[in-house]
Amino acid sequence: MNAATISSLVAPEAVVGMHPIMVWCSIACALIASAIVIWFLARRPALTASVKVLLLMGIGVFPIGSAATGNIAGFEHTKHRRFCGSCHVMGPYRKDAENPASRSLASAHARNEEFGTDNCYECHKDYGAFSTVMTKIGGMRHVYEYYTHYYAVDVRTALEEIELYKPFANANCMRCHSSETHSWLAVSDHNGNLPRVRSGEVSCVSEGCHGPAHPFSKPKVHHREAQP
Amino acid sequence: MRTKWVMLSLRVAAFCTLPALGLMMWGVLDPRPIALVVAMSVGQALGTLSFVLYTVVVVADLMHAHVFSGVTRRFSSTPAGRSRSDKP
Repeated sequence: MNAATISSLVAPEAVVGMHPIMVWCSIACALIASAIVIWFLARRPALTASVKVLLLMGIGVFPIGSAATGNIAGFEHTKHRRFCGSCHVMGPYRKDAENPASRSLASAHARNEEFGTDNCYECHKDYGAFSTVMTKIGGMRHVYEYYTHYYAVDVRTALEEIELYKPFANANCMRCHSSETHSWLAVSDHNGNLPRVRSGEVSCVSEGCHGPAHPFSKPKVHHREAQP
Repeated sequence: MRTKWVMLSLRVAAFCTLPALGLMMWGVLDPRPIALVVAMSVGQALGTLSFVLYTVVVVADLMHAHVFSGVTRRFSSTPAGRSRSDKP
């Protein structure tokens, strides 16, 4: 591993999109715990009841508090577009979403206040019970793929290779764009393809409908060919 | 000898807490995928291990001091306990 690789691994990034109260609580708990533990290690006090209670705080209560608040802050941050774009292969997707002149579906949704800086997560997350946890478990596969395969791949090659594991679910679009409203049904293409749209046979984000979602998206046919 | 073992275990637990806190802070201050994954796995595992070690040592120390036997005696002297012992 060369110096550039190491620096790219440890280079700090501004803490944006994290829950500020949770971040400060986590830092405060960690500092207090560290102070107690360092005092215990440096001073080597006799093991009295009060020292045991203090150690309970330093090894138990405050670290648990730091972990809990840090987890909340971390989970919140993983919804942020900055987090998704922190892997270099996702950079073009992030740039497109942040480009106010872009006409892509992703960019249009990023300009929507409901989605805002969480637009990647809002469109790609699983819906239903435990959606955040299930999405993050799925995201672990992205992390694995990135560090085992795409870390050394240049962006151009990655853009050609990267694709969704499974076709984008129309249900994700229909969470906001109901297929039950009169205005939606009034569109002849919607009405004519209603069963096929609801079943997912016709994708909302396919070319000719509302897609592609990103300028680099592959046609839906490509996904089907790629699948075994 | 026993006090030495207790102190050594507590020092190990305290020492392990520091890298655990450091890794957890890495996830908070530099929230990128690798940092968050390490913080939520290695950092928290190390922190949990430290706390478990502390708990084992303190509970063993309290048991050695017969603290729990005193509690057991107090529970057995409750009315329910007496009624059981009063049975022929």
